Amino acid sequence: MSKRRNWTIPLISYLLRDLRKFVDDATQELPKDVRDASIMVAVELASNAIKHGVSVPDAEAASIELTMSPHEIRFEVSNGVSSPDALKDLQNRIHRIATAESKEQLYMERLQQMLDDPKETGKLGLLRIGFEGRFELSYKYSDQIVTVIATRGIQ
Amino acid sequence: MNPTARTLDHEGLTLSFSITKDTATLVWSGVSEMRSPEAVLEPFLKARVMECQNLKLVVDFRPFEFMTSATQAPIVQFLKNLHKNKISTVVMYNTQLEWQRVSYRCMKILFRAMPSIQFECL
Repeated sequence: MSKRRNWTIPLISYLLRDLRKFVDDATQELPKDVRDASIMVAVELASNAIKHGVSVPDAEAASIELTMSPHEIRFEVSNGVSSPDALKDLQNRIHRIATAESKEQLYMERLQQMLDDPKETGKLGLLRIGFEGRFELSYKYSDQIVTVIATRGIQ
Repeated sequence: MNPTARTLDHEGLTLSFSITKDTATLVWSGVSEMRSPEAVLEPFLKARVMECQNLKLVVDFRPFEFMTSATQAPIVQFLKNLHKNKISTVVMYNTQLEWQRVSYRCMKILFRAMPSIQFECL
């Protein structure tokens, strides 16, 4: 007797499409510019978690949490960390963006690197969150799990 | 992916290329969320650059709804390649979309030393 089973493999573009819809639905009451920025932030953070995250005992999968108050919207994206070097790199980049006098300047510097060297293809997402999305970035780390936090005030 | 085809349709992103007299038009529409956009976009865009020799080119991003940051590098290299090939190019973008307003204003600054690449916003 033969048996057949099917298992659907989700593709990244479909995951991100569903995430965009999730955030769009959840932020219906916010101003359009904040909604659009929120969708971008969620997709960029999720893309990073998919790209860099690993499964660890306390976080077998990555997760994203959206919190809204009358004054603030906040994303927390958590995933396991692959190595101390990867964690250090992420921490350095968030610190650099969070403390920059001009986020636009950092963003432009990265674009210039991309223009000068075709091999420079990544590391724009967090800059986009800070500059284009106008979200503040921070992080926390515990038990091999890093959580990237993005917040923006709502006027 | 067939780079000689004049339309690229991939996971929600559509690039439509057409030629009328002395002007070529490349319209970006939909969303780009693929994991490795350079692998999909670069062969197609390089083929379009070759087709645009001795033509003017309009790159219309206005119907482009959304992209992840991973799509930025192939776009930067595409525009750089157009400049290297001396193809007079107009990039059109939509300031009603906040991400386009911010991204393409920065691109305009980035390419200011390449006068063959002009930006127009609507």
